[in-house]
Amino acid sequence: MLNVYLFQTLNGLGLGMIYFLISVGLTLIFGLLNFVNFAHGAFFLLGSYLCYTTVTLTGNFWLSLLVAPLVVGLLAWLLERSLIRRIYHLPHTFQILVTLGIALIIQEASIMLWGPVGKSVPTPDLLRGIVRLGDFAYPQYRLFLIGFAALVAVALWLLLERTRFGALVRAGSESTETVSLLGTNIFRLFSITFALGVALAGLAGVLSAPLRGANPFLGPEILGVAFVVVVIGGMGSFGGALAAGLMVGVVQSLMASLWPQGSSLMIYAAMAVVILLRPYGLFGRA
Amino acid sequence: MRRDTLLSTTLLAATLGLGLAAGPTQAQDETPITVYGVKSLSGGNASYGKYAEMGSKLAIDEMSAKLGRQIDYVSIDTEGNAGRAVRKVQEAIEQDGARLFNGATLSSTALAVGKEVNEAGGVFMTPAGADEITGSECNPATFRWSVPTYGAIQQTLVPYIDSHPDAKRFYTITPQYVFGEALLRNAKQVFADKGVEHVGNSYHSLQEQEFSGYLTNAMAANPDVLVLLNFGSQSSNALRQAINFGLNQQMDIIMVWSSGLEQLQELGNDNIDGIYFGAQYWHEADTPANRELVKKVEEAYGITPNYPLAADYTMTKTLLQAVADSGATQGETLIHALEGRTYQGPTGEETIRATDHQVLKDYYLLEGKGADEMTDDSDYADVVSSGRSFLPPEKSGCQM
Amino acid sequence: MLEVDDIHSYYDKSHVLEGVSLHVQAGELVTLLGRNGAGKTTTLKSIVGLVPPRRGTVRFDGRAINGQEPFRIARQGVALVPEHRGIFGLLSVEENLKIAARRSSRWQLADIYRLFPRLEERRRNGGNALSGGEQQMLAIARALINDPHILLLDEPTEGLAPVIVDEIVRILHDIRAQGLPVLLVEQNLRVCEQLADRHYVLEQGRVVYHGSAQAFRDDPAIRDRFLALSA
Repeated sequence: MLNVYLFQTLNGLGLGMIYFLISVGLTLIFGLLNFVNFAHGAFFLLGSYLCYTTVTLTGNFWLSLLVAPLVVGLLAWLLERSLIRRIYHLPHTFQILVTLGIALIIQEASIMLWGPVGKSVPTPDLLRGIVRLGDFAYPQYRLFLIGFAALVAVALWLLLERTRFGALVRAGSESTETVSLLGTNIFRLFSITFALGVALAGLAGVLSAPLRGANPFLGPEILGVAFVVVVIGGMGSFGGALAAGLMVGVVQSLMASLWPQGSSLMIYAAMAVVILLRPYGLFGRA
Repeated sequence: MRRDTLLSTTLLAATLGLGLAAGPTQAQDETPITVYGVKSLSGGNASYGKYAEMGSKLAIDEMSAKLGRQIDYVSIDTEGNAGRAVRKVQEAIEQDGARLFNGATLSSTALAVGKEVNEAGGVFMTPAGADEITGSECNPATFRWSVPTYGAIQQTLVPYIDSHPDAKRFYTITPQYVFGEALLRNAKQVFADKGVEHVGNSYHSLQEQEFSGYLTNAMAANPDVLVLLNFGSQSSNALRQAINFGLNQQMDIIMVWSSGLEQLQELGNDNIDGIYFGAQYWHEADTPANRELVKKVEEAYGITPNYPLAADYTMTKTLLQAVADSGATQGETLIHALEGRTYQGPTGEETIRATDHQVLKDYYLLEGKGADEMTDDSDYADVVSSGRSFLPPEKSGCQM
Repeated sequence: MLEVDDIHSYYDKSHVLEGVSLHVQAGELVTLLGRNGAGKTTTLKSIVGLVPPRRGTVRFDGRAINGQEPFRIARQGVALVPEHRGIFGLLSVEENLKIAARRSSRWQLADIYRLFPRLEERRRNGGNALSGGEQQMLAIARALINDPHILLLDEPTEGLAPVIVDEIVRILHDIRAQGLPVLLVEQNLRVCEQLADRHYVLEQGRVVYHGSAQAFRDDPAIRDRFLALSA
């Protein structure tokens, strides 16, 4: 019995790390740009599909880990420069409308390019096996996922806390005006941050592809979870995205053993409780 | 031109014109037949719709030539949405006088369209899966090709249990809604009848794509067999993830409701080797009609037929044959011509049961093959067993 | 160096600056005085581009800067220390300085710490943890490390204890002595009289007085007419 909960916790960590990767981009974009990006799930989707294409063309999953987020990030950067930056000044509801439209376009484009059927992405050969510890077995790929995502989290943390770019992003999330007054090209900062945030969603898509394949309708579901995580963790908070992402992932997985029907319910209930007690999220600030 | 020549020329032209406009000389049964294909050509099930349409069109070409009359085909895209499908069907009924319909992937669409067609006195042939279609929601207009949950369970679990006497412990994974519940109910009955242990069940939502939690539960229950009662992308993901966890090395896995070739192709050999699949149709089934169909499809499209194609081909062809035999394109005459009709279908001799309009046909238990075992590039599985099991009409809940 | 020529600025429909002109030469410290709401802050914001003037020009070093993005104006050395100081609470003192640091600046981190020893002591503290006076020091320090060619300050002594005020006066004195021109918005008359070369008085969006420090000292009537007294 003990094994089951250990397993579920591991499952939850893996799931949680994917949730973290999706949410951290969303929260950064909201924190600095004050922008609600409803297309975030669609970029996750693109990441999964680009992974599929890269693996189909080259047989190399590792390559897709590099290529897919780069391409997604580039697309996001172009999008930001052409369209997104024109709507920063609009109320959030308009931003939602526009980014929803973008999400739908990406979804339909995916159907046109890859067809309406889901695509399978094989687990990379190196990670196809199981790790045995006594009579305890766990898929290698899922362990890799936890480890790799943790590395990305650390790298991201270093970027935010130990580099000038990171300091500018954190400063900008308090006041973009003051950052401008110091001579920083705030437009460029926005573009890069948007691209980075979205690229992380793309990376999450790549990591999740061997688990659930790529299909055009992944976007809305993932977006829903991402928003729950961001609300629970606090808008604009890296730590919040990590803590909430893991929490949601672990709760969801434990629920599968305790009360499967209730797993979605628990997540939304948790979000409701957090909003009531701490409206800005666990780590958010007013 | 002289005036009387002009007059006679004009009269001649008019006669010819009228004659041409009246069309070829008419006998009552020479009016063109139009079949309306209700297919999900866009949206979530568009792959299905594409093949379904190919099936219908193939049947129409074949029957057109065979009967020597013009048969038209009009496509209605359900967009994977029951509401939209119904509206389009209503339009076709009211504006174009449509009465002959075939198709629908989603049960919700099939049920809704069936009601509309019934009210208009038309006929609707569908492969959709929900028990209610020839059960509690049956109606005179609707005819269904696919085997519902009772037969799917009987023809997969029973032959498996019979041939695997050491398999005593069964764990099920079930999507929590009407269809999943129906499969589960039937499965539990089989477990009870056969005296094997149902060691546990995990329900999941229709949106679920992450099955690690349920698979972990399954592992903890230590079953001999894992039975997947979900379908579509959920069944594919559950299976993929189960294999990821190495479950296929610890137990047998049965996917009761697979969509056949299409799904096996998508999963790939690594994910199907040694796995059991239930299927409505398999292209290697050795029946005269199936051999014919495979040849025709190869000639016409260059592919191996899959379930959606076979289903809509069969239903469209049967419908048209009934129209030709009865001389009617709608109403009771046509319906009576279909009821009790027996024909050579892809699964052998198939009969349309009069009481509930359910086609009595085989369901297949397949075993997936590894890449090195395939004899051609569609040979993804072998037929382990096939047969037909149907609840007696009184038990289906249909009152027509 | 800085020439503001008949600028008109608006907040939406509100015509806040109705033709303001002033200039600051190299090595000068010039003050901008006036009652609350006269348009002093708006004038500074118009110069740095936060509230772009709809009419008139702003020239710096001979080049027109009105209409440019604030960050571009800032890069040309027009440094504003805003009224609310704009310290980043989430960042440490040192981080606040480092994101503003420019290699070309006359003041590097070591120089800053020499000028503001208290900031060096508190360099790892978060911006939020500083007192009002320390925040003001940090705001000025940050402007200096940003390679300024002119310094604009918006009421730097507001709400601060006299001891701190004196320190700020000393620092501004130093800065001016190093040749950096300064445009100072202040309500504290005593501070202004200690530092300024010239004074402007703004009232309802217009310059109503302009004179040398000497002339201002000699004519008490100006003080009474235009200013809310605060010493």
